[in-house]
Amino acid sequence: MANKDFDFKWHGKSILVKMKINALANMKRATLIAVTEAKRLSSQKGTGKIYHRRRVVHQASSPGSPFASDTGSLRSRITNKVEQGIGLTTKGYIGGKDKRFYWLEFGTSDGHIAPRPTLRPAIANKKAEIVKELGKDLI
Amino acid sequence: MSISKGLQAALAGDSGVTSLITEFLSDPSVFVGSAPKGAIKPYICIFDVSSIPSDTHASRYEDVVRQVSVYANSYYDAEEIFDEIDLVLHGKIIALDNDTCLMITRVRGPVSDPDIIVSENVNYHRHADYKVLTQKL
Repeated sequence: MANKDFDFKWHGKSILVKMKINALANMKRATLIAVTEAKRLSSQKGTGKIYHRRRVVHQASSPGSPFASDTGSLRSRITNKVEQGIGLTTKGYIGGKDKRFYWLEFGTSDGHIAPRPTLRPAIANKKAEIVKELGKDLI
Repeated sequence: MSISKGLQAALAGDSGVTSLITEFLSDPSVFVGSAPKGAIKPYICIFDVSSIPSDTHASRYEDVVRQVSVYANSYYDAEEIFDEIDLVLHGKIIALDNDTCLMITRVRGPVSDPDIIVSENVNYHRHADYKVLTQKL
């Protein structure tokens, strides 16, 4: 009878679970970087039309530049969301459910509101940091 | 010539695209930025999204994203025009001027606005993002 000096144990399942958890955590941090940048971009003063509302003067953003927050309501709604995709894929989202995000980001169907990209430039500006976060150790 | 103007010239110079869109002041309706007042659909607009410049030893690169939007009266027109746009831009290299070339790739879309109801709406907006890598030698 042969000596049993070593034994193989398959930890595939537990490693896979750990990888999925870490990938979600990495994605959460990565999307948070983009959210912070989007909030910073929308906090900048606009260069477009000037509106007067009682004592408040608001300068809107000009087309092509990030939306300029007025009351801060839309800016505060920029959030991130992560979810587990099929297999090892992890999905990350930034923005929110408010329709105004879409109208401002891509413009309206009738062409009356030109795009004021905020979320896409936020990702582009922080691409290196986002990639670094996503590439962090999974195990 | 700017990157958007280069894309505009490429689209306005293609007979497949111009046969599907209107004219504005005797030029094909391809605009950089919002369409001017009086423009009649279908027309194309090119919008700035982002621009990240970077330098290497030999040349200067700029990683630029432009949104190309089609505004049309019917969903099918918008779809057809976009197919033509994609043939002109996606995967193509365009010489901008003597020392600059544009390498174009579609990176997002094309997608239509989500609130569109095909049979009811009269404004159809279909758009995509093109990544343009500019190399200045």
